[in-house]
Amino acid sequence: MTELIPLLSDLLFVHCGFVVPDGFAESYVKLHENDWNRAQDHWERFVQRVLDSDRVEPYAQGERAMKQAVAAASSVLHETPLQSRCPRCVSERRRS
Amino acid sequence: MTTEEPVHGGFERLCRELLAEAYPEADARWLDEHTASALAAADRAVAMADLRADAARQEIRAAVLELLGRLRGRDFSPDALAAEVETEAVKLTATARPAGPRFAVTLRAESATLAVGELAGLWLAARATGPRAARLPVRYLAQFTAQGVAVFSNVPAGRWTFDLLTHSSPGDRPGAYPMPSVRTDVAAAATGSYAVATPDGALFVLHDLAGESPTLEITAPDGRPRLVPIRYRDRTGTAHRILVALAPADTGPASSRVDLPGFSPDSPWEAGPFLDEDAIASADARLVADSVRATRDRATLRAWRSVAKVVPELAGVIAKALPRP
Repeated sequence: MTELIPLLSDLLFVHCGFVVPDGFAESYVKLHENDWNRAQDHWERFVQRVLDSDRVEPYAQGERAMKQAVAAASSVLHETPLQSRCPRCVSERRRS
Repeated sequence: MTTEEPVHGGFERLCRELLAEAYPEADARWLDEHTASALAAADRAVAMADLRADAARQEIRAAVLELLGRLRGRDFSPDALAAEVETEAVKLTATARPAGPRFAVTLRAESATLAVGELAGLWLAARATGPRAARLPVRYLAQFTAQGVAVFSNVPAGRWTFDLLTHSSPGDRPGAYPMPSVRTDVAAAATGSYAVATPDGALFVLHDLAGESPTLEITAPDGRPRLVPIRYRDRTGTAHRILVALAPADTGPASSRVDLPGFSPDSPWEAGPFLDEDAIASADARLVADSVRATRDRATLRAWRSVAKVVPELAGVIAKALPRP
């Protein structure tokens, strides 16, 4: 399933096949100081956790489940205070 | 808790933990407020994603329906083991390969623009018609995968045609088979019988369709005693559910026969998933009693006696419903 998580670079486009807030991918990469690899890593970890949670409907399979997880994850990362602080970055800084 | 650890079950808890991790200085009230707004944002986004996916599903389903109609115009049969039809957006390829005296038939939908994955879980029925086909019209069920592939096994020779079972959906319970409605099939009306073969090798045959009380015969290759739930609607639209007990036969496959009171041949019906006897320990006593009374042959009665031995909680209900010797 993890291999189906879309790349942030694909989510830049309106016709990416996923529902994400306008400007989400640019903003999320910028939050990671334009480090695309780090942003992609943190994005994938978060989407995986959303997939494991009850936000994805139990009946949803494959692509449908991924679309729900991507929509939920991107909206939470873009429409809450998490838009200004990445929890994983904060956690990594604290540990280093 | 760090962001590494999985949070199974609670999206709300996940949001709260991430907010707390990003804002360690935040108080409980702030966390409550922003967790609630995160949940609301996610709900809106998922609803929008579902709407778009539903639209995509309708689009690919409509295209496949059209292509299955076009495929009927082709001579897809043992004389021509491949056929291809396409619209601007979708290509449908049908191929068959001999498997003993019968055939394995594969349908593959491909599209560069539509979401083929939205076909996942949809059921199709294949039929073999024409002079070479068997007299009893059997429909063979198969399900689309997320890759847009459906494989029908054990299909006899004939001219092969396909229908999409539009009442099936990806959310259907695993192991439950959506059965095609009956009256659209002229051959079934002529023979008075109608049959559906499921991918696990079971055969469901409806007899006496034109009569007042149609009966259902189930033949399953596995000899283990099992129970099969059947759901259908009667002519007034009332929903019915019965359980069919299957007992192993002394020789050959297990076979049971039951009445389907008021069965409406032009309504979709559903069978399965197959259950072990102990799975019905907490079943509604009335459902069990009605199911026992619906049995039409000695093999099925024997199967119910076997269930009574395995599920003592229901032994009294079963014994009371069994006919007096």
